[in-house]
Amino acid sequence: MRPDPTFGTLLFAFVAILIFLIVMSGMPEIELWADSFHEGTWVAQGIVSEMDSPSCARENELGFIPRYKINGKGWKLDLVVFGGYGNWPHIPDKIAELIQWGKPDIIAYDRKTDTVLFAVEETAAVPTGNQALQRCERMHGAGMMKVPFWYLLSQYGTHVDEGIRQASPWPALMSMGITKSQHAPNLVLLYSSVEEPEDYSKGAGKQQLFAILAAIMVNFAKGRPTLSGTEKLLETQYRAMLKFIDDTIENVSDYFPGKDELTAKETPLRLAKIAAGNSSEDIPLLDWPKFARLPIYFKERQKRAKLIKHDAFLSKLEEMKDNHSVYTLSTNAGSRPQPVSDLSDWIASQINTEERAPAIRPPVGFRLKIADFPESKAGLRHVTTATNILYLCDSAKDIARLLGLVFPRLKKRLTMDSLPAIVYVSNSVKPGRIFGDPYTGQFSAFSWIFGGTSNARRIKIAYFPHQSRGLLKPEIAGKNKGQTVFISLADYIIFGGGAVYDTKSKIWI
Amino acid sequence: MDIRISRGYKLTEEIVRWRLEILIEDSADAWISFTNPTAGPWKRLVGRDNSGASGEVMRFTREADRPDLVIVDDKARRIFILEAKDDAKGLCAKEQITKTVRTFNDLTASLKKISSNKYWGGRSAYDFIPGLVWGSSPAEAIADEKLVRDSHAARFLGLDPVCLQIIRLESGELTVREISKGEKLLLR
Repeated sequence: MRPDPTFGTLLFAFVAILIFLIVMSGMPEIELWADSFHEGTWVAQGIVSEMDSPSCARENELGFIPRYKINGKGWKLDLVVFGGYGNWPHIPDKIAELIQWGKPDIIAYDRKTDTVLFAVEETAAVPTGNQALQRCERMHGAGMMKVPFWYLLSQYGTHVDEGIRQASPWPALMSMGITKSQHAPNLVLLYSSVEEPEDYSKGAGKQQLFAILAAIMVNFAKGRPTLSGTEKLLETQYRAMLKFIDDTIENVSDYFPGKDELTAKETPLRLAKIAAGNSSEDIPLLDWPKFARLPIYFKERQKRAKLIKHDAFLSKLEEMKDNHSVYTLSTNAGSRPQPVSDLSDWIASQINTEERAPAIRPPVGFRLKIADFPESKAGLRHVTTATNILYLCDSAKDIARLLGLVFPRLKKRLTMDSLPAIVYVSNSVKPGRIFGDPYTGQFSAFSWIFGGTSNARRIKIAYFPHQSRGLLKPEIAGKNKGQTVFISLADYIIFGGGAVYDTKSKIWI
Repeated sequence: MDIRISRGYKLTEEIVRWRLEILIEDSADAWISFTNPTAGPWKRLVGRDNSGASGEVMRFTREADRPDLVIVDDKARRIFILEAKDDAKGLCAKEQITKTVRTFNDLTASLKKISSNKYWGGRSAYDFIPGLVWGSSPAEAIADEKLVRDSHAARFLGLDPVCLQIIRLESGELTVREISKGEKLLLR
């Protein structure tokens, strides 16, 4: 009886496929998901440039999907770039979850273990004023998911007045807070110089970024833990970041707790060990104290400030500075008056939104009118109330009491813990503006810097005196990044007229 | 490539533009002076000096309209200013055509004035050619071509734009088809 040739062919094909799968399953592969192909290939090429003389060939699958085939000494690795998050049917759930906080420029993913290895954000935007805070919600998302995160930022930039300014330290402070709380790397790396602001080739940041990413990739290729052997690299990065904070903190705050730890020689290594998962110690950084423990010089600066536009709640909060239970960090915020025509449109929209909002009891009574907003010298209208946007309060209970005084509807209905609190203020009148840049970035940053450590937890309160509660839709917050940020971070969100959303209980008060 | 990816990806403007860039990168004659979503230094239009070193020629303000690609061919002394879209329909929307034409005219005028930048050199005297690139399929290619030509007829003041289709085959592979009537970008 002759053997069946069909059976032989099938057997051969089966064995060939099996061998192929075995071989291919052994090829380490990382997917580099990126906001654009340019971002992805830039990072891939940067990573390869920091590896120890590998050979690297690039193919374009389907004519356009870059695959970098890297051969190192005793290891191999493929990097495949998928540009544009929304273009692909196979986006992993973990990446979809991460990008709901804002899309980092690069995310590295291992499909076999369903692991996000790192995320990177980089910007060439001039980092002055609120620019540096605009991407902080992406740091927040990575922090929440404990994904190692690097933010490459220009240290210097040319301002509109053509002066050279330094970047804000807020993102770096936020990184420090996330590292401490989440025991995962979260770092700001800086490039450029005073002479060459915005030049990527100046400063150490770009090289440091690709060095650590290359180390992570080689670890992956060799089957080692992600951050194995990276303490030295991380220490160098934290050292540079802490020095930057030390050099610039006075631009944003007249006081910083833990200055000694900030500048101590061993602190960068301690942070590196925490980030790499090799230590669980708690370093006394970002432990913002209650009023009584502030240094005398700083206490003496805490005086009730005049408001530009009157606000009853903020007036009382300013009074609490005289009562030594509330403090602010600096007095260098200004006002940006708005045209009357814009303001009128926004007010009309806010009133309309309020009227259509679902009823809550007691009624809210939110009212805005042009006459409430003082006129500026140029005939515009000031929307700024207090020139401080952040208050640190000894007790959230005090805040609840003040709110009850100012908004009778809250009397005996709003109770808060006696933990310390932060109150973040946005004076924006434009409907929904608060759920966009830079406010989501600011609140993300302030939450980690002032409210996120185990040693010094603070209740987080966001106050929007000129916004209607009708703009917050908790039921769809997952689809709106800005609302997601505030609902996930704040304990209470307060709208005009004293409407309060308790985010933990998910109820309107 | 996983069949789910090869069959399921969306042919967006990003992919359309990128596919063309790959072709230009492999070209000996043409090089990319500007592409819209750049990593690293962004919104800069770059040139090359006599030694081949790259440097900034100009940068776009945040609010300015920008093309999707600017390609330089020093051999033929031409500058191509291209608009890319997911598909022909997107390229031919009324407001889009107005924007495409305006962007071409404004950038051409700006680049023609630059004479003392060492990275731009004498390129202000080159020919400036508008270009259109869009995603398509074998079944729709002919109809798309007609739509784009008819919609843009006589919009560029006597200039025929280069027309490039990024065609998605059944396998998911993308090929590039130039159907320019006047000046050519890829075909010689």
